[in-house]
Order: sequence, then C-alpha cells, then structure tokens
Amino acid sequence: MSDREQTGGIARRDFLRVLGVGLGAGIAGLPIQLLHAADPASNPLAGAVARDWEKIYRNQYRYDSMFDWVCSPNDTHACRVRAYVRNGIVTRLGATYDYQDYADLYGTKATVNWNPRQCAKGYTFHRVIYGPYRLRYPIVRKGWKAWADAGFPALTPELRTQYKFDSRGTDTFVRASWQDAFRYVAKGLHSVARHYSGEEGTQRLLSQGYQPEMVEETKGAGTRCIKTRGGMGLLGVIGKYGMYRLNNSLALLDAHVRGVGPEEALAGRNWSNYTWHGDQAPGQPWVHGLQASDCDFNDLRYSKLIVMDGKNLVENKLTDSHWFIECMERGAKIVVIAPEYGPPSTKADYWIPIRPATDAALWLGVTKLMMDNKQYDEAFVKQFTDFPLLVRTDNLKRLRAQDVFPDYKPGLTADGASMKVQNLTAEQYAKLSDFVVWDTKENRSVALSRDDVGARFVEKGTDPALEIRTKIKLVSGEEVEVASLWSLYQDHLKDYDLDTVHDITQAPKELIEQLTNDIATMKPVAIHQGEGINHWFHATEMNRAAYLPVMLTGNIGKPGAGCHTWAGNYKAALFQGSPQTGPGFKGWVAEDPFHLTLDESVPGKEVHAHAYTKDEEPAYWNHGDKALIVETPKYGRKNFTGKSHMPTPSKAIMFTNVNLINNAKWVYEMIKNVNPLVDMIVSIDIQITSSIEYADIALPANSWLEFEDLEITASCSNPFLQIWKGGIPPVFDSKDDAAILAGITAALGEETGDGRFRDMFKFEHEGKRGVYIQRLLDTSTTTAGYKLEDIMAGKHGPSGGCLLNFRTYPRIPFYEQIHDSLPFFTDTGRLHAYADTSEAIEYGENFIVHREGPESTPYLPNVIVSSNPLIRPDDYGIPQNAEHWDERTIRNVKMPWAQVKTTKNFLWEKGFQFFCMTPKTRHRVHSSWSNIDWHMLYDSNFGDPYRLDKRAPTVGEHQLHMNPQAARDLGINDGDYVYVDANPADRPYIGAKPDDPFYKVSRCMLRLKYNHAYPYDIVMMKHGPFIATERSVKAHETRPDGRALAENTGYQANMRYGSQQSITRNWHMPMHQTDTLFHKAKATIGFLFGGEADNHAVNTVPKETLVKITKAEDGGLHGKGVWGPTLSGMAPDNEDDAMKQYISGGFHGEAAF
Amino acid sequence: MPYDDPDPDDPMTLTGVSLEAPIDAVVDAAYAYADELARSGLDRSSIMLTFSAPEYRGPHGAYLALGHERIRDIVNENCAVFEACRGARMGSNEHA
Repeated sequence: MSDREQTGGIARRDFLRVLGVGLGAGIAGLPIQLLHAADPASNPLAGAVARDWEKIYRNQYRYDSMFDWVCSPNDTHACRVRAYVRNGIVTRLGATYDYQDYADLYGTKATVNWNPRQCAKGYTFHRVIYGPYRLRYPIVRKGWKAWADAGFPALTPELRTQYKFDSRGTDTFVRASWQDAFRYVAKGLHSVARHYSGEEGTQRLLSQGYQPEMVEETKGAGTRCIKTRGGMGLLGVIGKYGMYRLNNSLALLDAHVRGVGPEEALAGRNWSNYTWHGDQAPGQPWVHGLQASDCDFNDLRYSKLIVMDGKNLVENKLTDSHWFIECMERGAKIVVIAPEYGPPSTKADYWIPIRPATDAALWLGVTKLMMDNKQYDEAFVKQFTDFPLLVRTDNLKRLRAQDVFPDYKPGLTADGASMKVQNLTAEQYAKLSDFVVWDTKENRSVALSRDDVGARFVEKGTDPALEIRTKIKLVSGEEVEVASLWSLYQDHLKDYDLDTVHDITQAPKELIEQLTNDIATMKPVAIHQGEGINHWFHATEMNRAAYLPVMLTGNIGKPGAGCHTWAGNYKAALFQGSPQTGPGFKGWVAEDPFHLTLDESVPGKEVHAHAYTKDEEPAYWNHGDKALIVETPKYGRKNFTGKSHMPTPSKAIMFTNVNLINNAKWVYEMIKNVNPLVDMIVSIDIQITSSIEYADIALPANSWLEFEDLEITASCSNPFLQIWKGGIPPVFDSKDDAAILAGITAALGEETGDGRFRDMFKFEHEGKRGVYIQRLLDTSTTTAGYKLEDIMAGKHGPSGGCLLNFRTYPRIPFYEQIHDSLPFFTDTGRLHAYADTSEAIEYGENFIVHREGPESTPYLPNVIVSSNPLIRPDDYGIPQNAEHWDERTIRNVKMPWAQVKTTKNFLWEKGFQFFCMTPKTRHRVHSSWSNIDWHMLYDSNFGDPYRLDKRAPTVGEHQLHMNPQAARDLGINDGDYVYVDANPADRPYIGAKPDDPFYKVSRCMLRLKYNHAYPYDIVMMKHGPFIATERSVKAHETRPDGRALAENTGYQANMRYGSQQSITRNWHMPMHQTDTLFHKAKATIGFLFGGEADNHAVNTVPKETLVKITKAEDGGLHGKGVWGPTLSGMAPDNEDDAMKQYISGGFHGEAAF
Repeated sequence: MPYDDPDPDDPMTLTGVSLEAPIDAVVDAAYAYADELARSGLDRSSIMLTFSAPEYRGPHGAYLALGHERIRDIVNENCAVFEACRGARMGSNEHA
C-alpha cells in the first residue's frame, strides 16, 4: 500500500500536518479518520475565489489585549507570565522577557540572562482556568449540612455514621450561597471550640481515644483543636498565609467560648508546609542553624564543581535549570549521585550510582579520605567549624567554659555580633554558655564564645589544636578526659574506610576517590541535595554528612560555593522582621486581634504582632492523630515528641491552595481511620480535588489570572519580588483567597457578636488590600523602603516587579558569616559536625553516622553503622525482631558494618524487596496540573487522547518504572497493570481486608513501564497523581466509557485504583522533634530552642517504604495480550534488529548524497 | 531532507495510521474542534468558517458528515461557554 493510500489520499506530510490540529484537545474518542481530507473529490485550490479562510490562519496569533500575572505554584520559580487575550478569552501564555529591568532600591539590576522564564505549566494554565474541573461555587456535604442544621449535636459514634463522617466518600454535595457557606464554616468553628473546651471538652477528647499528652496540650481550649494550613503560604503572602491571620483571630473565639481575656486566650494550630511536604533538609539546622541554605540560581554559574546528590535540577528546576547546564560550557564539572541514571546524569561528567539512602556513608567516606590525605583548609576549619572544640568523653557534651575556668565571665558582649546583630537574648545565652579549645601557643585550654569566629577569632591570637586528647580538671574538682572533635572524628571515621563505604553504598571505589579529589582540588564547589535525600527517614544524617566536605574545604559563603537544598518555595524569611524594621511577615499573619491597628495611616512598624496560634506538623494527624509516644520494655511509656512540637487532637481542618488529603502519605489510612473523628474539613481551592471529595465544605478560589486585588510572592531561588493581580474576571462564582478568609471571619463576628472578627480583615472588606501589603513591605528586612505604588507604577522594573534588597546579587547564603566574620546560627557560632543535645546523644546521632532506614533496607531496620565507643545509643529494650513501625522508629542499635551485613529486615524476608522512589515530575507541582489534558498526555508513556483502551482512567494514566529484567523475572510484560503493595500490617490502611470494598479502592494498581535506568531492586512512581476515590472507582467501573470521573463532583482521578500514597506512611523521626536544638527563627532575626514548623519539625519521608510488585492485568488492548507498543520493535527490552542496530550506532556513518 | 519516499525500514520514520471509529465519534470531533477554536478566541462566524471552508480539512469533514445545522448548533453551544467567560460569573446546577 502506498503512502498516499494509507493516509486517505493525501501526502504523508499533509496528513501529519492535519493530524496535528486539535490533538491537544484530549477529547476521548476523537476519531483519526475525521482528520482525513473532507472530500477527496474536491480540490480546495480549484476555483477557490473566497480567501477569507486565510484570515483565520493569518490571524491565529492575533490578540486584543494582554496582561501579566505570576504563576506561583510550589516549584520555587514564580515566573511572571504574559497572557494574550482575544474576545475576552486568554488564548495563549508566554514569557515576559523583562527580567533585566528588575531593580532594587539602589538601582542594581538583574541580568538579562534570567530570560526567558516559563515552563509547560505556566503556558498551559489557561487550560486549568477554562478546564472542566474547576470548583464553580461553594458546596457543602449533605451529611455535614444535616448535622449543622440539627444544631451541631455532640458527635457520638452513631451520629458520625448517621451524618457520614465515616463515609464521606459516598456522600453527595449540594450547592450553597457564599453567605451560607461562610455562616456554615463559622458555625462549624464555633461548634468545635464549644465542644472541646473546658473539662467537658477534655473528657470528650479523652473518651475519643486521643493521647493524654495531646489532650493536655489543648490547655482546655477547644480552639486549639482547629488546624489551618495556608498551602505554601509564600506562594501568596496575603491570600495563602492569610489563613494563619484568620487562625490568630480564633483567640477571639476562645475568649468568647471560655470567657477568658487576651492573656489566656488561645487560637488554633498552624499547620506547616515545607516540612509537611518532606521538602526541608532536616539536617541543615543541625549544621548551621538556618532553616535551609539556598542561593539565587544565577549563582550556579560561578561553580566549578556542581554535585547533585539526590537532586534533579533538570526536571525540578525547569525554567532555571539552564544556570547549571551553562556550567558545562564554562568548564565546570558536573557530578550526579543517585541510584538511577536519570535526567541530570545525562548532563554529568560522571554519575555515582548508589544504594538508596546510603549517602551519609558516602560523604563520611569522602571526609575520611580528605582528612587522611590532608586535603582540607586548616585555617577555615579552625575559624569556622566545631572541629577544634573540646568534647568530654564521659558525658559526650562539649566542654563548657564555666566548668573549666573558676569565676568564668561570659565572653559575649552586648555590642558583639551575637547580641547586637543576631539578637541573641541574655536568657538564651545563659543556656548556651561558652566553649573551650586547646591553644597550641600557650599549651592550655582557652575559652571562646560564639562571637569568636573568622577574623575575630584570629584577632584573639589563639591557635587551636586540631589534634588533641588530654585530661582537664574541672572547677568541681573532677578530672575528665577531653579531646578535640577533630581527633574524635579520626576515630569515628575508622568505620567508614573506602572498602566499607563501597560495600555499604555499592558506589564504585574509583568514583568515590575521584569525587574526593575533585572536591579537594576544585573551587568553588557546590553540593545540591533535594527530595532524593530529604524524603528518607535518615535525611538528617545525609544532610549533615554532605556538609563535611564543604566544611573541610571552606566552600561556603562564597560565589558558586555551598551545600544547598532545593524543593518547595518555603522561604517566609524573605519577609522576615527585625527590631530595626518591625514585625515583617508576623505583622500580617499574627497581628494581635485584641489590639488591631485599624488606622491605615499608622506605620506598619507599630502593628502589634502577637501569635495566639502555635505551629504544628500535619504529620501528627498523618500518624493516626498521634504523637510519638511508645510503650518501651525499659522505661514503660516514653514520649519522644518534644513539648515544643506536641500536637493537639484534630477536630477541624481548614486549608487553602493545597490538596492536603490527596498528598497525605498513607492517605487511605487518613480517610478510613483518622478523618471520621474530624468534625469539619474545609478546602479552599480552584479545582475539584480528592481533598474536596473527602471534605465537608469546599469554597472556590480565584486563580492567579482572576485575582481581583493584589497578591505578593517571592522565591527561594531567585531575587524577584512579584506583586500582581488578575486580568480577566473570575470565570466562575469564585473569590480571592483573602476575600474568602475575610468572609469567614466576618461570619464569625456575626456568630459571636464580636465586631473585632470583621476588623481582622478590615482593609480587605474596604477594598484596600494594599494597606496590608505596604505594611509588609515597610517592616520586612528585604523590602523596607519600597512603596507599593512605586512598584506598581513600574519604578523598579515592570509593573509589580522589583528585586528584594539582598546583601549580594546573586544572593549567597552565609556571605556575612565568612565576609564579615559573623557567627553561624548555631550555639557555638560555628558549623557543626557534632551535636551534643541530650536527644542526639541518646539516639546515637551525636556524631554524623550512617543508619539503615527503619523500613527500606535489607538489613536490621534503623541500625546505626558504627563501632565508635563514643556513640552510646539507648535501645529502650526494644527487641531486634520488633515489627511495629514506632518500635522500629525509636530502636537505636549500634553495630559495625561487618555485623550489620549479617542482619535481616523481616519485610525483605517476606518478599518486599523493591525500593520505591517517588520523585516529583516536571508535569505537575505536587498534584497541580494532574488533570490537565496536555499534561496527562505528556506525563507517562500511556497518554492516549483517543483512550483506545477504555481501562485508562482518563487520557493519561500513572505508571511505575521498573528494570526490565526484574519485571521479566516476575512474569510482567512492559505495559502490564501491576499491583504495588507495601507492608500489609499498616498499608494501604490499618485493618485492610481484601473483601472490604474500600481495599479495592485503595490498593495501588497502575501501568508498568520497562526502564533500564533503574537498578534491579528499585522502582519509581512519580509523586502526586490524583488518587482513586470511592466515587472515581465507581465511575470507572460503571460508566460506559470507563473514565474515572466521579459523579456529583466531577472529580477526575489519574489512577484506576489506589494511589502513589497507598504504599507510603508517616514516620515520626525522633531527631526532628527535639526541644533542645538551638537555631535561628525562620521569619525574624532571632533564635529559638526546639520546634518551629518548616524549620525544626517532622519532615515527612515518603520514600521510606519497601514494596512488592505483582501482575494485575495484561497490558494489551482491553486486557488481552501484550501492550501494543512493545511489538513496535522500538520499546525498551523489546527492540527488533533494526532498533538494536540503531542503538549500537549501526546507522552512524558517512552521509550518502 | 527526506526528498524521497520514506524508507520503510527506517525505525525512526513516523507512521500515521488510520483507525476505525464509530460515526458518532464525528460529533465528538466536531465538539473538539469547536471547543479548541473557541478557546483560541475565535468568534462564531470564524469558527463556522473553519467548518465550511474545505481548506480546514478536519472540521470540514465533520461539516460534510453532520451538516450545516448540526455544526452551527455545536459551534453555538461551545461559543456560549466561552462568551460567558468574558465577564460573568458562571455557575451551573450540576451539584444541586
């Protein structure tokens, strides 16, 4: 058959051109035959006189107007996007190409090389706003409404069933007016405050089975059981972070319910963002005291060695990935450390394959080689690290100056950097004290304070010994053995010689040595870690260990240098306050509802900030609404959750701009066993999500293009301050986030008769949102001096754009520490290789060590790999065969590697022998864009706009990547559907039984794709698809077209059954929950001990799982035979001879003309 | 440049294939065209022109199969959605 015949009579090139028209429609069932020539008999050119059809073609890019808006998902970029409008419709989106115009107050401008900034998400956003999955108006769940209309009777188990709190997924929603919706939310909040306050409320909570410690934490205030989350608040400081302002107003509700005054009133708990996503590098505050280290991305140009350790800067830095890719042209070397050969490895000079979650061992091995080979900057080590500090070998604490020197006078002064610049308080200093080194000049111990760093330390004339072991007599008369940390590390690292590290990590020895030499000989060096590290239980150790090489070589605080972490756009510190400027961010989210500043002419610095709220990790809700309190053989009931972290029972959950339930690890446990005890769930979003499927009330928010007033954001990876509003009217009956929050508080005012609620958002009600933004600008360290009207008038760049006022461009973390000799934000003022907090010592993590994970390991779960006698962990008497997740979490057992190798993980023995990577994808941000047709087509190998196989949940579906040989060994063909199961003791939910219909909904089933990039025992499933729900499964099984499109809500799932979260669970890392870690507060210049959301708190770890893969269905059309593309001869591991010839370079040769 | 007919043994050659589809899929296709063109900001008359002009072969195929009246209804239905997007807040009774 000729080519022309095959394509219906038109030439191949014409056929393909026509085929391209409208393919993006993603309409199920679109027939290809319609794309053929309309009438083969008619020649369109013959006798065609009318040429008006050409106008459509020639004018296809014409637009009537354009406007700029900011695409602000949680991918850290915050690109300003230009929308082109025709006939009132946003028809296309593009880059603005104006970053060279952004300037700061001093006239410094950004480089033109930031252009263009835009990814496939930004330029497809019009398909979100006009798409079929928008939340169009407020809706209320029928059962919940019936409960509310019945007057909110106290919920007994019977009433929870009657009103479908325990079967939300089978209930239906009804439309509500905005006024009614606000009133329902207000009444729901009032109900929770009433039911759980006082002694009666306490008893009610205890009777529902909550831990007494959590109930005690309510302090008798029902409002403390209200949890709010402004989804990645930085993405919209007014509308998203504004949720916490609403929460702070709940102190008024507490005052109303309990009759208390401001001094006793308590508001709700503010749920975190960054840590909840598992995005933080939890070990970084242990090293330098700061929440996270990251730089402006144009700083990457300065690096001569870029190491990506569990970080995919190609897929996850999208529009800004060019900054590192350019380094190839600039002579830099790129190294990737990852289990799989992924996108960044294709750019690397060398790829170091590594067994998952063993990166701490790798870095300890590199450190040992550098120390042994004297490949370190001795001056830097002495001036900026804790290696010279003396440590007591008896109690494992650092030697404190007041214990050594009689009548010791503290070394810090009020005009020193610690107190004058960093705002260390005298009370905090009293807990820290000063430290001791051994001075080689005077051959005696000398004290040093946290101000004694860098040049200031040099000026003192002390030359600390790096290698010293001695005995020192204390003022108490006791003589103790001490040694420098450097000497102790020389001992400690004996467990991490090259052969052992190779054995632990499976990384090639020659590449470990190459990496060591490259770090030692090249400058500047930057190490970038990401979710590939932070999503593991022992990320703390992997983060700490990665800092060791940069500490040894002084690669910090300089252009192109550092050890950074990249994930979400978390950086509230971009709007941090200070004594000099005012409250900054806190003035917005925590303005005192009892002392509101209602005069718009009053400067922002005079706003009275007082947080009646308290931070909390959603991880506790995500752990069965439980803190980490374990019954131990040795001590009985033992609490591992610090007081500063202790959660309260979750009785109301309200969130905006986040698919909270969908993205919860162990999601079906939340739906089945946890949320039935939650009295009210409110989701504010622009689309129907699975969180709404399982909510009680859903309120539609305006999208970024529809904002009716100003919003403001900034980013952790670029210097741009972005303020914008929408350019088209809201398509549906939606409101700006801030207007929704204002509506809820106003309704609370009507409910309680307290007018201060309405005043909480006074300027929002008056259409003067700019007052709040100006106050934010006035009082934040990075924006003080800016006038909103100037920014909007384009005085500092494009309208709405300017640069944050940083010390350097690009912004370089710790520049001041190195350049100005300021202390790091630790108790010693130095970079830490050692942690002497009581918890770290008890858990065996005072030294940086490698630990096997509590689940994802073939060996004894959670074992500490060391023989160091100065690691003295407590195992609490937990037996080594204990299987409960919390027992595995707290059991601290130390063994040298040779012994570890002989141990077994019970799950591995039961056949759970695949690690499951769950990285983020370039085609969505968390779950955003998951239901956009174009992205569903792009996102997997199974995108099909025609849905030829009606089993597909929609025009695309989720997939699991697997090594072909591993799949073949299990009898699985490329493209088959498979089940992915984790530990059946707790997943997909506790109590799951195969005959439970919900088990079918929740068990993960998806397509499998052969992929040689993955080692034999590693599979990969991208993070964040829209989960299967009861309604989507019912639709999939009953609709003629098979789509997983839920009735009533219109929710579209990406999975037929289950979710990526079917195999994950929450883990409560003890090292994330201390009360003693001293570190910088995130949004003000000052310090704190212990917990703070997104800073030192449970950072969730979805990768900590082992899975088993079993075949579910054949991959061929309609479940018969093999998946068609595998027969093409071009599919991986199914190549025909021609494809094999192509892969082997057989087609390469001299061109024949 | 591929001046000649493609080499049937070249594994990198793109191959278009024709698939059987039921006649009611023509309606789906017409909706898809109308929806995409309305999203592109074309007005009713312009969209109708893409159906009636033989130069736009895909839409015109649907036009020939379904007839002017049916296509006009489909275009009107899709344009109504996007005309409503231009200024009015929309709702529906889907959830009621």
